[in-house]
Amino acid sequence: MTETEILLDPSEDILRVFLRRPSESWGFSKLRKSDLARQMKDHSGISMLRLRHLENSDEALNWFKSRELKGLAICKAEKLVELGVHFMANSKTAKHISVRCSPCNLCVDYPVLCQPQSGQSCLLDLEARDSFSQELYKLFVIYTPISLNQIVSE
Amino acid sequence: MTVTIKHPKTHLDWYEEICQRLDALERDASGYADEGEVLPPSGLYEFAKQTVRDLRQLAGFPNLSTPDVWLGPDGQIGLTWEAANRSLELIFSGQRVLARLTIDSNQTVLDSKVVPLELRKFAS
Repeated sequence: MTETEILLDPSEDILRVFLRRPSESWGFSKLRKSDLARQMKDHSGISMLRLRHLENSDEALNWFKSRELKGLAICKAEKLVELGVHFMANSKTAKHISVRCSPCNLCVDYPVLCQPQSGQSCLLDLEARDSFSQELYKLFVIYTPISLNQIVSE
Repeated sequence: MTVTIKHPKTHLDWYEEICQRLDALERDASGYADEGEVLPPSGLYEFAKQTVRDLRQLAGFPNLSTPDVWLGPDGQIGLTWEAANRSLELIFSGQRVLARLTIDSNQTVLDSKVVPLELRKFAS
């Protein structure tokens, strides 16, 4: 199903999965701007999950395949709305949303990447001038910390 | 008679800790890489170390805390110092470095000449 822009309930809890390597213990208990930046080469927007539509937070931790350790950060949807971002999803009750920066052309024709209509740098690029990563990083707090127990369980 | 031999405590300064963290990340990076993940080329780790070594010298060997050391989403290497309402990031990619100073929500890309000066402001 093609993704379209949806509106979120301002009171919704929105999750972002963040990753750390096992040796990276100095970064387990903190968020970074890079946790909230997009991978420019192969992703349109950045992925987030809607807690109210998930079975539980474990579903969020298992949503993406990764060999790295996973933690969850959380933010109210209203904070994201105030920032002016767009939410793209398969349905109004989708668990997964693709968050786009405010001037995004909202392209969903994978593998063509989205880009700002103005031709400027994507504001979700870590290195963009006035990168949104800076703002997003301040809006989110850690919800599920990184745990070394994940190494044992895998 | 019991003789206690005191060994001097090994104390790493912030530059040496950066190097250790970079080495740890380089060891782990390929082992935990996800499909399609972009990793820093091996030369970028050495470039980051060399750049910080030069900056430390130009800044007059300030006494800093160890910064956060991280890998970015597109194969960058990043260092971040934080203090109160300001942060200084060095983002290495290719063979260049982006220095960005953030005070509250205001981001400024720094000219390379002023980076040592800004670095000194994070001294304890």
